[in-house]
Amino acid sequence: MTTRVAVVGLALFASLGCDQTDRMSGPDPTPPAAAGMKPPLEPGTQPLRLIDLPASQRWDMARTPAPRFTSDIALGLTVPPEYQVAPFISSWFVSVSWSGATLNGYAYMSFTGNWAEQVLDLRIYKDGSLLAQNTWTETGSSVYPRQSGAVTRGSLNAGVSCGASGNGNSRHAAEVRLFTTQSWTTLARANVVDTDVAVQAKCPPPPSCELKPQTSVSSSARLRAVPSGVVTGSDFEQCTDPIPTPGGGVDPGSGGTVCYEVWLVYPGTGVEYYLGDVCYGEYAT
Amino acid sequence: MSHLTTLVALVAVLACMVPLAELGAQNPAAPTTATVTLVAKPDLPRGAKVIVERRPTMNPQNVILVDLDRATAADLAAAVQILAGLHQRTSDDPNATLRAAPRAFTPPPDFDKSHYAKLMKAGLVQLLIAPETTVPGVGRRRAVDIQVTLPPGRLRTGHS
Repeated sequence: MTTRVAVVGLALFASLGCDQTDRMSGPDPTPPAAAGMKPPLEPGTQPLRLIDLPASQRWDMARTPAPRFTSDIALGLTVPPEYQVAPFISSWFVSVSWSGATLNGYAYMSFTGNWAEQVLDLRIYKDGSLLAQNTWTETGSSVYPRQSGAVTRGSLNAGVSCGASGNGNSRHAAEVRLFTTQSWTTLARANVVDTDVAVQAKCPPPPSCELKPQTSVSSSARLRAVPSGVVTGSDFEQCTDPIPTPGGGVDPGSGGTVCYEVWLVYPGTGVEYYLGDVCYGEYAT
Repeated sequence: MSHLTTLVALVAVLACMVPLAELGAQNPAAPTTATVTLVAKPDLPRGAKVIVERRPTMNPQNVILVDLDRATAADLAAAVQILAGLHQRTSDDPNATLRAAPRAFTPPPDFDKSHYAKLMKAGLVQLLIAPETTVPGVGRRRAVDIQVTLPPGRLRTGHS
């Protein structure tokens, strides 16, 4: 009879006076009788920021329960009921956007588990060349499997303000880990990935510098006014750097039609006066 | 009192005539970028999930109040679209504060999988982790500035 009994927690830690509060995400809702240890974070990674989810982003367990383990699973462990929840990632995305020459990225997931890893990778390309790249790897954990949100942020700057493409890639993983007599065991893992691209405004064409009065050239040089016939290379001066066209055009997926109610708000009093209903959007001409 | 009523009615008529006058515009406005301050505020009036305020005489000028417990990326996209509409009311009193709430929003068919939807989701996440700050006219709330492109479009009278 070699049934291995999972030991969650621990007398050892209890003797050290550890409470059962998850310092990263607050008290766990249903602490079991014997528990109190968070799975360790991955060495070399930054801590993953775990956040409490608002109701709108919480998975409705009552309507669609997440899959659960049964006890005595394939690993031969006796799994306490609190850990019989399969890891589950209910929503996730990576979003990138430009702020001038800085590419900002957000990776996000909402998940169920007691250990999670999120990787954000940002890259800036221009004319097919990789100008800059960085990767942020973060891990976080809680004592018990629970629903949480996780955010990883990163910024990258290659000193380019037009014509570049910013690529974001994210990897998201959630696990349920259990401490056995020997070590931490991963009971199950969920993985997802996502990508996003944001393109800077196009660079304007090179300036067309007029070679007055006879002709014109398209180059990055400008001719100073000198008598005809005595033009030399030294008479050309560099044109100023092109200025990128402001704005990057319309974001794909934006727009649509919205109908709304409008009020005029009187200053000071805050009293509203209803002005009417208006719709705004693209209409066929 | 009757003078006040007449004045208010006149202002309302003038304000409502602006979109009517713009119905004939042939060229929708070009897209512009704007800084928008998202402010977390539960229990918004009239059951709204988002409320848009254009406040020319206050800082920040473009405010979207967001009920984080209920608002989705589509609700935030609707609010940005409203802001674009409010910016087109050029004949209004430039100093007037306007407040608006969406009644109906039809996003583009590809919205759910779009880059723009991710931007809206990222906006909500940024607000979720933002520190509290004092927003004039609103109070001490979680708030964050985001950059958005105001989609081009045209105004018309309601009745969706």
